[in-house]
Formats: sequence, C-alpha cells, structure tokens
Amino acid sequence: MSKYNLTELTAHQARVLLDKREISSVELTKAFLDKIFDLDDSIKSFVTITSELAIKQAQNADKRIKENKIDDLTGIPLQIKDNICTAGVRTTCSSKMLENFVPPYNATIVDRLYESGAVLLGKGNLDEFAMGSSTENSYFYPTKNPWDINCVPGGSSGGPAAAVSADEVIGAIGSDTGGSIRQPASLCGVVGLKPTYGLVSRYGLIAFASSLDQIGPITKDVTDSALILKAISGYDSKDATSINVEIPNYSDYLNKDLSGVKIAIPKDYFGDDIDNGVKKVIYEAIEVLKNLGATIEEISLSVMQQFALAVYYIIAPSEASTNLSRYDGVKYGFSDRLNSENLMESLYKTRQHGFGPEVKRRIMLGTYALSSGYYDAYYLKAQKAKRMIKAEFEDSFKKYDAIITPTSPTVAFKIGEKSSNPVQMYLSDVLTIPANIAGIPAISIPAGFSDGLPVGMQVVAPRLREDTIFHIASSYENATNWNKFKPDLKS
Amino acid sequence: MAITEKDIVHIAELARIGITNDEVKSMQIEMSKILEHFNVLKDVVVDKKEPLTLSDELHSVTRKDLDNNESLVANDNMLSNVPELQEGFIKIQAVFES
Repeated sequence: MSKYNLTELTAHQARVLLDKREISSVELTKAFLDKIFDLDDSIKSFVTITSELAIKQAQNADKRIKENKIDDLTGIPLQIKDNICTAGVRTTCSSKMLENFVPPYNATIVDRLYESGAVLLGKGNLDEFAMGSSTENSYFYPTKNPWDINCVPGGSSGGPAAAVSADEVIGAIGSDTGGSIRQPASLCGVVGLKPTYGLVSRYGLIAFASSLDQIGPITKDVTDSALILKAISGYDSKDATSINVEIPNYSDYLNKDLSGVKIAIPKDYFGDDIDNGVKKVIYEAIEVLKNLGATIEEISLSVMQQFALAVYYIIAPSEASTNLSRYDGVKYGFSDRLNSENLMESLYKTRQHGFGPEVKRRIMLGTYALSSGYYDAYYLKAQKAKRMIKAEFEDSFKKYDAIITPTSPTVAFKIGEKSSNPVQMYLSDVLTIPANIAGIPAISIPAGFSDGLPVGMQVVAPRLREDTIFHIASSYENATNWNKFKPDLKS
Repeated sequence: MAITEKDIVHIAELARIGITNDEVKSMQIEMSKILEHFNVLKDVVVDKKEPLTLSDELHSVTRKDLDNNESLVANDNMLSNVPELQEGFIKIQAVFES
C-alpha cells in the first residue's frame, strides 16, 4: 500500500512522486484500474477499458523514467473521449454505427500523448457523435454524475468529465463543438478547456461540425490543464486548419496576481434564464477576482445573446449533415445490407438503424437548412450573423483581457428531465456556444456549489490567449480551492 | 416557416435516412419547435456582411509534391473495417440488374 492516495493525485503531483521514484507508473495505473473496476459500474464513464495496454504503457513509462527520458506526462494515466481515434482500440463515438470500429491509425493528439509517455486507461462515453448536453444520447448507456448519480454529468464529454471528477483517471481528453468540454466540466466540478480553434490538431477526431470542433483537456486543476494543452497542441500538417505558431510554456503563466487585468462581465448573460444559485456563485467569484487585483466592469454582448444559439443550431447540424453522409454501410461501420434488397435500400436502412434519434434529428435539420430554397434564409444568414458575433467579441477585447460568465445556466439536472425536449436541451449550451462560433479559447473552472452540486465559471479570452486564461484561472483557483472538493462516492 | 409532414419525408429522402410514419409525426413536431427558435435570425440585418465561413481567416496549405508513403496507412489495415470484402475489393449489392 502506498502512503499516498494515488487516485487523488493531479498530474503535476504524480510527476514529482514518479520522478523521485516514490511511486511507479505501474503502481499508479493499477490504482486507477482498481478504482475503475470498483466504481464504473455505477458511474459508467468508460465505453472501453484498456487494462492490458495501460499496464504495458506504464511499464514502458517506468523504463523511460529510469533512463531519465521524462516528459510532463510520462507515466500519467488518462482517458480519451471515444470520438478520438486510437489505433487498434475500438473507437465508437458511442454510436451503433461505429460500435465495432477499430481505427487503423491514431489521432495526432493520441500520437503526441503516447510519445510523451502517457498511459491510456480507456475511452470515455459521450453523447452519440458528440451531439448532446447530457451523455444520455450514448447508444450504450448514460453516464452518471459523481456528485449525484441521479443527475446527468453534462455532455457531450460526460464520460471524461465524470471520470476525472470520480478520480477514475488523472485527466482526460474531450472535444468541444458548442460547449462539450466546458459544460460537463462545470456540472462535474472539474476544469475543462476549449482551446483556440486550430491550436490542437483535429486529425483523427471523428468530425461533427468541422468549423467548430476542437480538442482539449479535462483535469483536476488548472496546472494540469496547462500541462496537457502543451503536450497536445502545435502545428500538424495533417489538419488544414492547424495554426502554425510557437507554443508557449503555459505553466509560466500560472499563480500570478491579477493586478492590471481587466475583466468584462456581460450583463446579458446574467438574465432570468440563468439559475439564481448559479448567478450567486459567479457574483461571489467576481468578488474574489476583484480582491486579487482585477478590474471588473459590466458590458453588453446583446448580439450573441440573441442570436448565437440559433446560429449554432443552423451551422453545426449543417456541417454534421455533410460530415455524417460518409456513414453508408459500405466502407466501415454498421451495415444493414443483409436485410436490404438493393444498394439504395441498404443505404437508407443502415442510416435509419445505425444512428440514434438526436443524430438523425440534426442530420435532417442540417439537410433542411442547406436545401434548395432555404439555404439563404438559414445557412447563409447564420454565416453572416457569425461575423457579427465575432466582431462583438473583438470589440470587447479591445478594452478587456477576458470575459467572465457562468459556464452553464443550471447545475446538473436529473437524468430524463430534458431528454424529451430538444430545445430545452439545446439551451444548456447558450453560454458556451459563442466561443466556438468565434473560434476563441474558454475554460470552465469550479467556482462553488448550488444545492450541493458544482457550479463552473467560464473565462473567455481572445484568440491564442490561453496564457490569459491560465493566468486568471490559476490565480482564482489558488485563492479558493473549490477544485479540492470531492464527491462522496460509495462503490 | 412551418414545416409539414410532407417536408419531413422529403428531407429524410435527401438525407438518405429511412423513416417510419411515427417518426415522421414526431420529427414534424420537434423540428417545427426548433425552427421556431431560429426565427430570431429573421430580424437580424446582415445584408452588407460577408458570410464568415471559418472562425479565422485561413489560407490554403500546400505541401511539396513528393512521395509520402510512410505516412499512409497500409491497405490491409485500411480495409479491416469493411463490412464485406471479396478478393481485396469492397463488395456491394449489384447496381445494374443482371
């Protein structure tokens, strides 16, 4: 028995112990696997657990540590959302369509994590094809919120957020198209970062809405978020939208006071549609930021408050309808050909039976928005409104370093509460969507509790200003320690 | 813009998704509600704005036209997920009547 509670360690804490040889990666990995086997029957955060691979990778990591070939993540056990391709390890998108899909190659971020010596514990559950805000749309099973297993963990990266929150993993990798990293991080009381569009390669991320999708870390604290971002970001010739910039050492921006930092609070995002308990927590957090030296001023972001949700739910389904046209039962994935008389019938049946209701709803919504006669009214208009939203952010950032809002309008809601009402579910993303539309970075960090459930604060910064995000987030985290609270889990 | 059951059938056909009568009915109700929400965009004045297609001004990326085989996934591996293979070819139902 180790004298440390291994599963509660962050990556940077484990790094110190691994490098001092007080613990080994195998020991650490086994502790997490034990925890997963103990707990995941009730949390359901994993789609696939890769025990054998994990032990092998941990043994290699221990060898590397012995040889002093150490990177930030050498020997650190992680989970990866199951819409990110892992060669030889089933990657399902939590869809019947890809239930048995084994990718022939790794996503770029998987290659980078492996090269740094990270250990893969398994693949995280999600809303089918990352479409949803509760992980109830998984073809396999809904994931439960570790703070209350009758509640959703949020989504679509509900598996990764729940796994981090329940100490089943040290950290996780998610994807965020309209809030899919930040909203579940908020609902599970962990740190979730959506980086600048193009900062992290999307090669091997199974596409949902290509102009909005971005990969990012879900972690127990801000320091780990900076470490993982450093490991996975950077130019990749395999992604045409990859940004070619030098990646700063994000850890240099942690733990500093906030004097001189100007923060804007958009009053439009503190309206009646935000729960009072959530608002109270964020107002208290703003006071903390003031005490740390930040200047706080109120602004208005009325354009995005009015239009961002509609713009998103036109653009994202439109892109999804074209991206998901590749699932035809011919090249890979589920095929209903044996029940079909001809090729056309096989195509219709494969898509009818391979996709779940929300995916079909979005494909059809996008097909409609792009169809002849409606293109101008919906898609083209949404693309133009997108420019207005981006301009509104740019105007604000002329005067302010960052914008702060709640991450989610509510705390975790009950499983089943919103699943029959798509519009109600879509409103869960109202605060996170604007950053995706503008392609700018945003983080959710734990800021307190309402009714015993975690509340997240969102920090939004200009393009490629992840340094500003880490600066504000780590300074706040240091002053409050909300991230140290743990759910009471009985396995 | 109201959407009819007939529209739903048409959209499903465009999307190549088989749909039952019950699904047509429920989809008509759900999509009408969602589209109603989109009506806020009706009032936006955007005529002079250029559409923004990607979040940032991106430019074309090119690479040297060189043999780059080492980054390619081997054929066998690439075909390992095909539902039905025959002699290295992907098998589908006949397109022409025999």
